[in-house]
Amino acid sequence: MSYSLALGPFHPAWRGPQRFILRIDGERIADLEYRDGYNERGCAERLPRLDLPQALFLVSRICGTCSVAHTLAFCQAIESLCGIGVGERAVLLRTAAAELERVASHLAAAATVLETIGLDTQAAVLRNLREATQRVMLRVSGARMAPDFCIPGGVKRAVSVKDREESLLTLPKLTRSVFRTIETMIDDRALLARTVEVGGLPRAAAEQYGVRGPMARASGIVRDVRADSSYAGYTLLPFRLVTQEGGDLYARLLVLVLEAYEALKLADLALQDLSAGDWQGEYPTALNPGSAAAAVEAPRGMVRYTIESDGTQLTKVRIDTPRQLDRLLARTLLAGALLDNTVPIIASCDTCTACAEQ
Amino acid sequence: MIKLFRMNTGSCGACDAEIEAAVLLNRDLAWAGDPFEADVLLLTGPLLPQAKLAFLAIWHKLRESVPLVAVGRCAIDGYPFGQGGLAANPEIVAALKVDGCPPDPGAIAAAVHEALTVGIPAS
Repeated sequence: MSYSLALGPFHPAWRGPQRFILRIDGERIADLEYRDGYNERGCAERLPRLDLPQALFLVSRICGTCSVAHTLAFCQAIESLCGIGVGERAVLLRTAAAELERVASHLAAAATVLETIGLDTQAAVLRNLREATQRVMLRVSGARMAPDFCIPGGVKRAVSVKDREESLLTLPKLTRSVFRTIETMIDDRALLARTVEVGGLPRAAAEQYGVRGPMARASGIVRDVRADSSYAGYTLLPFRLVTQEGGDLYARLLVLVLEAYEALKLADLALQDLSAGDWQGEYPTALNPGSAAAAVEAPRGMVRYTIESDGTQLTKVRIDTPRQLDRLLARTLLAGALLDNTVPIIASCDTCTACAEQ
Repeated sequence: MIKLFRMNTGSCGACDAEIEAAVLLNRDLAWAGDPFEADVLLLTGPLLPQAKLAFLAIWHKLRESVPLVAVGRCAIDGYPFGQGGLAANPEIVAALKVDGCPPDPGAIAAAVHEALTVGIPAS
């Protein structure tokens, strides 16, 4: 029996709008059409028309779940254009905020995958850990999500002694809880049965499609901006790269939770090492003419900002963001898959249309 | 149990994540599998042209029966994206608007509860 099934554009298992039109033959997907473009706001074109404070605010709202990564890349590009230095305290605070954001993003993605395969109890554990992470984020950056935090030359807000102490008490507990959850996931047979060799993306295909971030690292691609061209505080902290060889749903899930675990440790270390010193930044009074670029590892892979200036204002901004699914990649991942596995496979890509389409 | 259906019409995702947090923190809130099971519809994002068509397809069928809550500043007036939102689409009437960029999960949960008592405004 053959029929068509449309999923989306609005669906509880994905955050940004995207549509899948599946042609089902028996129990498997025979073919599919992927539609995107629901989230094109034209932010990059809008940025040069704004003054710097407004531009930075818009950058922080291009993606709410990778907001620190976007503002960090934008600020680093401005700093490189204008030759602005950043104090060590600010560098470590930025790193802590960026890693906490990664934890929140990854744990939510992993929880969504677990929910789609019916493992609601484990998903709830991860969701609660994510919520606790957001409360630490509030202490460190002043907001649960999309904080007004990075500014050229530093950060907008110094963490208070009390907030730092509370965060340093909470983070080790969170780290241990995430570790215990990973331990239960590794040999959970119900989880293995639903995820191993499901939705496989071989390494060669991942390379060809230019997949980035955790999705690429789950297919064995050893690539991470934090390791490859170290920025912010990653030279000061012991950073460990997470990769898996499997390329399947299980590998993607493991990369998400293991990276969340590593990110919690990094945020903890960054806050421990916090030196006294300069943290304040301010908007430069004038921009140097020329162009500059900066890349950071956002929760879903490299985000690069290339900016051009005529000496008074920004004239051009190019934002290069990761894209987890496109028409052909969606077909590679889903064609031939069992209908039951469709939503878990899509959830495991952790698509962020807000980043991809800006 | 109050079932929610969330429609992201081009938001940055922060409001959507805070709605997820509201569902986690409030035991009486849950997700609806599709819009026709929902007790409250949630709108995030500035109603971008393509997403608006998909939104209207659902909303036209449910506008008489399910209250709509607009969550977040860009759903209300399009700021900071400079376009769209309910302000630019007066034909879409929300029972409640929750301002914030993003609003707190507590404010979202309170608005959902209030929307059920306020009911559907005449359009």
